[in-house]
Amino acid sequence: MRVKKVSLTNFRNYKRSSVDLSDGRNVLIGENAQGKTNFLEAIEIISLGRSTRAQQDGDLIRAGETDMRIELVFESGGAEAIATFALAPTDKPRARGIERQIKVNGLTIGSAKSLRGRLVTVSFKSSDLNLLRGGPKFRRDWIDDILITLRPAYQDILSKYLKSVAQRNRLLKLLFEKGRVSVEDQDQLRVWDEQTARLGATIIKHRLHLLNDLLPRAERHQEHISGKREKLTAEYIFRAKESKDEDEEGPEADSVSASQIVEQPESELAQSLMVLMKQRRYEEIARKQTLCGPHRDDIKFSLNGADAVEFASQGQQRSLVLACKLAELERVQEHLSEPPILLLDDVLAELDLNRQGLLMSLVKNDTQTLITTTHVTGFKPEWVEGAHFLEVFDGNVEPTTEAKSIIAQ
Amino acid sequence: MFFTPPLAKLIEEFQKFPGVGPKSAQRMAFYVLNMNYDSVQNLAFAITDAKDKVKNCSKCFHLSSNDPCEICTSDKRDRSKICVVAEARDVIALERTREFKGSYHVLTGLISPLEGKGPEHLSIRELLNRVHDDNVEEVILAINPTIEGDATVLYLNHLLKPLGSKITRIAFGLPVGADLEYADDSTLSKALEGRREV
Repeated sequence: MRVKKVSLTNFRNYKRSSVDLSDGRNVLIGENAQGKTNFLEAIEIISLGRSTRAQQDGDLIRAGETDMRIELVFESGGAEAIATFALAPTDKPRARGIERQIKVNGLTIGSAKSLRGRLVTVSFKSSDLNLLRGGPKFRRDWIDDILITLRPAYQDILSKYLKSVAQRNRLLKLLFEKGRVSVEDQDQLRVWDEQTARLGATIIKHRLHLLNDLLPRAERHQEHISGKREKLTAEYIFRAKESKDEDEEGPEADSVSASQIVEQPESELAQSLMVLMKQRRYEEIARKQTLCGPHRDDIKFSLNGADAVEFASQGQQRSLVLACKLAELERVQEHLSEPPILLLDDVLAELDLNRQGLLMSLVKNDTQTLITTTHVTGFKPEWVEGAHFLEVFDGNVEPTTEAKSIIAQ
Repeated sequence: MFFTPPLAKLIEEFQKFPGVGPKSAQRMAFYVLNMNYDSVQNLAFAITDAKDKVKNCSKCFHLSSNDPCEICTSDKRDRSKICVVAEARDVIALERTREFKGSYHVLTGLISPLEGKGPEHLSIRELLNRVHDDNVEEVILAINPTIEGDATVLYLNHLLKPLGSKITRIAFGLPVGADLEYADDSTLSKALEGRREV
């Protein structure tokens, strides 16, 4: 896959900018806050169908403007395609004033999710540290996003599940307000239990399956980075099994190793989720929300048996996240018939030469790579040799030759 | 806005229709003003007349000006088969096929707590009574494969099972004349799920 051309109009700090990219390595150089990360974000939006940074669509529009547009010319599966993602004002109800217009080759496509799979990116960025230090949602999104890349139908299961949880939560709220649960209510609850549990079990199975594939890879990378001193392990945490009283049961009792559950048939898993829902019925009504299910699950990483969030040093945490991301890259590369686009946002300069070398050894030769940086020192020379240099300044991207002379010195 | 109040009111009313935005509503309102007086009165009468005369059939809840409706009173209909649908418009869609000769039951919606719809708002009790009283052999659930549709099917299944009738749900998969290559993933996996021996 190749991104040939990126055109941005009123996107973030870009007023109007259009630039051609080269097939190999593209190095985007610029001071902070000039628009380097925004540029990579634009590519990621076309690939994921959503932004991983923006809280709401409106954040993507340049200050003082009412609409924006991202246009990408890319090559995938041997064919060239043009994808656009535009936001425009609308007075349609429920749209909150902004409407998305997504087109591929000029044809409007229904929803952002159908963009998935046309252009696949794997990104490394400083905010990846959230994978370890951020809330559970970062870890769930990480695993879910990889799953969607590998198996687009997973998106459908996931959104169905979340809708089912939303319906169930509303019912719990209604029951809370009513203050009692009649026989009819029990019947209806059981239906939403079953529906939610079935979809939830499918999601858990998928996640565990992928995790079982990723972990040995991540473990190997961590070993390599640390010179065999650190052993990475991870556990899938079923928050549904958490007890009400935190003191009653230690967190260790809640976690189940992925390999145990992965053998279990899906129907059994759904059954045990339903049992948990029944056990926690009154607590769920009191809190007006679904407490049992994969929408609350988490992944816990450990190094040499100790919780990586609490006990690992900054450097160890960075290596761990890198090891996981490398596992992701490997898995996605294996799945696709052509290499994905690699986005390296400000991270390369942070990695020592050993780690840079490891990353480079895993990246397939003909991978298009976009690297952003404020300076080109500290890079392994292979990254910049023969690279296409672009300068990012105040919302503008232009090819430059100056950087080459810096490196030559 | 520069519309004189009665015109503004008309545009506003048209805009309440599903799928009608401000621009279409404006066009419709101008069209009405250009119609001759008789046609406008015909239109107004047709609206109130339909509202007055079309009611839910007390048996199957299909829309009809007769009660019981034409389908429920027809002697060409097989009463041992009931096809359960969410809305009256689904009956019309199924009738177009001319394939089904049984009777219908319109639920008048699907279970959806988010829209404040519980089983008590649907015609479920009436369905159970019909299945029980008419010795129904087969209940066919022609309900959309959405979250709300699936939940409603589960709910009905729990209640209908004890009555002993055969319960089936219509198949989901590829539209006839469609190309495998262009089908989306979830439709294809549904189609695989519902495959059968040839």
